[in-house]
Amino acid sequence: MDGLSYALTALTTPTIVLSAAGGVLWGILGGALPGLSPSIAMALVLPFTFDMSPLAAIIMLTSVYIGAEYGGSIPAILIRTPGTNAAAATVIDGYTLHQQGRGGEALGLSLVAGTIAGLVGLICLVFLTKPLAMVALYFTPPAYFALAFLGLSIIAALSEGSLIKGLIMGVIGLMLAMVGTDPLSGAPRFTFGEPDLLGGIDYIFVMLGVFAVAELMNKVATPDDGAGGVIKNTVTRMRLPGLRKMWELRRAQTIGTGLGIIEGPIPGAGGTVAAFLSYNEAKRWSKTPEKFGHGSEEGVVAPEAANNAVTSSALIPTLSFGIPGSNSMAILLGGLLIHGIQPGPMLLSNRPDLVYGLFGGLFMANIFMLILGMLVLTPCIWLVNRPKPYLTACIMMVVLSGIYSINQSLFDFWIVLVAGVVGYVMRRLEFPVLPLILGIVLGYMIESSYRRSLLLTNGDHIVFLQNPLSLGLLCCAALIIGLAAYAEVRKARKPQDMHG
Amino acid sequence: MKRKSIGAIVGAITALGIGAVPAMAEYPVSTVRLITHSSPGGGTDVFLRKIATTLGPIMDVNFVVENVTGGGGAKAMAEVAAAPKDGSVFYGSTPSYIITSLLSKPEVGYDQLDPIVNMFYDPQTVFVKSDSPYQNLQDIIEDAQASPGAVVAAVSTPSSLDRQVMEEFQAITDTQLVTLTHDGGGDVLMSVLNGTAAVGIGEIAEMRGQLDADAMRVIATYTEERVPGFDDVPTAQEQGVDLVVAKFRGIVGPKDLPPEVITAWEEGVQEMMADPEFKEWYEQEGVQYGYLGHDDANAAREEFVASQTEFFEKFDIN
Amino acid sequence: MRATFIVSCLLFLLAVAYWLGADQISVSRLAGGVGADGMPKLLAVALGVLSLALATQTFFQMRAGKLAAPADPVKEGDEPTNWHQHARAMGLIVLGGFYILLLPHLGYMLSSMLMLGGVSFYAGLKPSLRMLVFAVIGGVVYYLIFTRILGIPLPSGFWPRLF
Repeated sequence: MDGLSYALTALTTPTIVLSAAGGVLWGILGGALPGLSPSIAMALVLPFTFDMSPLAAIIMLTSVYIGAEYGGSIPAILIRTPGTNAAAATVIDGYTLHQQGRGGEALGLSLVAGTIAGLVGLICLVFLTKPLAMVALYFTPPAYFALAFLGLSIIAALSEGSLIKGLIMGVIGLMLAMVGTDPLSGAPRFTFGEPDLLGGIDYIFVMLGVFAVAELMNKVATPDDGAGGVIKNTVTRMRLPGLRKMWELRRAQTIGTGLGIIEGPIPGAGGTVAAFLSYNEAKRWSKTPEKFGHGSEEGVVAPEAANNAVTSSALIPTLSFGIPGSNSMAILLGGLLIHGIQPGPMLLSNRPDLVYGLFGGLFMANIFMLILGMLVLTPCIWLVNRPKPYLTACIMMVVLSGIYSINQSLFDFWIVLVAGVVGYVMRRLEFPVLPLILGIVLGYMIESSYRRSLLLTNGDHIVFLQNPLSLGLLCCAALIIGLAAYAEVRKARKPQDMHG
Repeated sequence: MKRKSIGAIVGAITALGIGAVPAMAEYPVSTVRLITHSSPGGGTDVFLRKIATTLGPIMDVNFVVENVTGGGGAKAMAEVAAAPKDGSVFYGSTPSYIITSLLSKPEVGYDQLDPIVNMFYDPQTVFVKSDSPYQNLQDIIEDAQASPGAVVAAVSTPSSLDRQVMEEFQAITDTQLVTLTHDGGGDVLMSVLNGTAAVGIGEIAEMRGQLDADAMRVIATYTEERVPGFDDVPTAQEQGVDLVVAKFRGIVGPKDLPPEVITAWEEGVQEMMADPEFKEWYEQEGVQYGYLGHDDANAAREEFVASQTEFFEKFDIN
Repeated sequence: MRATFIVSCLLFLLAVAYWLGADQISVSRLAGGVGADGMPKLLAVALGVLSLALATQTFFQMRAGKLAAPADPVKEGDEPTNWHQHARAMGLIVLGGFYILLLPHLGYMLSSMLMLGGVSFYAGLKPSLRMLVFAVIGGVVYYLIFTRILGIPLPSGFWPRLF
């Protein structure tokens, strides 16, 4: 019971409580500002943690992370702009709900679903660290390839209406992901001598372009009719879902939480893949799959549960191996090292006060997320209900400010504008946008792991079938593609009773 | 994740030169910006911050660390090259600024900057899982000769020095291994831990946690002399593989700085390197003493550039 | 319909260009069996095939559409439909382009004031004192948030030279 007492000590130390609260608030704001990723929000507070006690410092950093991963869904729902990569899947139904005047409900759902998932993830972090750490270890290059392929297979399910158009967008996304340094030889590809392109095109630029800028273009294309805004019957308050509502949505919640916890420890996979996979699975297992894409509550709950569950289990490789699985975790590791703490297999036995204190801090952070979320959301809803010209100008400026933090390059602004034009044209022609996002997010992983796998066997593809994890994931992918193809065929046979 | 740069924030700490007795000629400016392409908390960043706090009182200067990420260091180089030539802006250098200059040919490359001093070498080490059958490099060579293309060696990014070491290792020992590239040092550790790769190449600082837990062993270092703290690990040269990697860390500035600025750095850094407390810190960090003054640092860079160019040409990377 | 046909032809051209670009990638023997250009070329072929398929599909739909009902599916109310509206949408990109060009010269605060004023005017706000106040206060607030609080070194333009 030493662990519990360490956690309680943390919970009752005022400076630690303050750093958790401050961290979450900062994180929510950072995550909600498009272009400021969770890792940048963490990097911004890092210098302030140098003078703190080690425990307060890591609790502050993880609280920022938790807050930021949640905060990204606020603009996703309210202005069709994912604030973080992982919130991209929330855009689909979240923004549709907002357009239907149910933005307050959607925000409440995402907050509660996120909090529940975060707490469940924390329980898993406390009790299942060992097995979840094994998940990270099982991922070898063939398994990464299979995971990326599984992610891409969702394109088949996400391209409603036209499979060809969906595939085209997916391929374009993959093409964009090829830009940068070749993962094996290091040769530059499609960089046109531009140093800004060496590191590849950051997904967030493309997302901001195809979601936010394209939406703003839509807004200015249809001049204000005097009604003030497009959204009618607006609820200007955040509305928390009741217990009964959450019970109704338990299926989506479970799927999202479960997939999030499993994906969290896999280095490099991140919350984005988890969010998209759980969106797709929630749709498959839903009693009302036809609502997805047209304002489904489950379509908000599943991805939101996933990307918040990830925040707990993503800590596992960092803490138990000392190996960061993402940019955010690399900053956390840096913060620990500055305090002279070496994460790794010995951390728990060397510094149990720190590990259990961190668990206590994470618990606080999730509770603060709920409380501060409630406080922050109502002003956010008020903000997006300002008259359209003001709102359009403000969003455009946010987009053209935050992304400067990533590379400090004006070049990136051009990428966003071009992506905006592409997004606008594609939307007019009813090309689905999500396959593009999946392609660009997964492109690097699928190529590098494919080629690395083949290196291991001198070019023999059998490697993907020999690895049990890879085989299993590939079977799942085949199933998803098969089911989508079956649905497509059935739709083609009976065109009249479709189009819900 | 992966190869993206993290973002750039002016995270600054200042080292106040309170009560320091100016032992040497006064430095021309009072505040000096140390620029790094590493993000806050990254390797070079931590290193520069420590230098800022140690060297500040010695040189009686306020050091401010600034993170200018992006473009593989191209941004930071451009910023330093364009800075006033009064000794107020410097760049915390690692080999990556030269590799970026050679590979992506940015407008401002390494040749527009002037190495001031070198301080450390990051020892490149060969490590295995603790239960690995390999005890030394000869074991690996024998295994690789017996079954070419079967031994997998994990290295970090494609254009990193450890990758080049591995290619040269194969050339020297006339073996054929599989060189598996990764997205960073952490992924290399993971590959060795889960058995994808039989050996890994990396820096000591990254694997400290694994070494402490006896999950990994270092079997060789590509250094001139044995690494302090790893006195029982023979160097590659001792094991019959003539390969030494000079992964340096130093300070680089704009060209044509006044000589007194350069002298101030040389004297200040030598004094800092002699400080016992500082010595304890950097040995714990797993880096080796590698002081080179202005002229030597320039010569070392020429040598390094030549070897890099040769490597890239040999393997058709450009 | 016709637009889809044109876009699918453009996509085919993109596929060709991408292939040519992939051909420029320097091939190193460090790149493994697939090579640095393997996946890009595969993608170029995939896009080529898919865009041709889409063009063919659209072409036949167009012919069938001429015989049957010629109308496009009804769009939602607020979706822009005609060329005039598309041009208006592109105007926002032009404004964004001006902002990017001006930013390094005028500095972040002044550029954001102009941008806030410009976009709100473009989105239908009548020029008034209120708009001016919105732009000026907005610019200061953005400056405080992004440059001061978040510490992002956005360009300061010519201002430092004045002092």
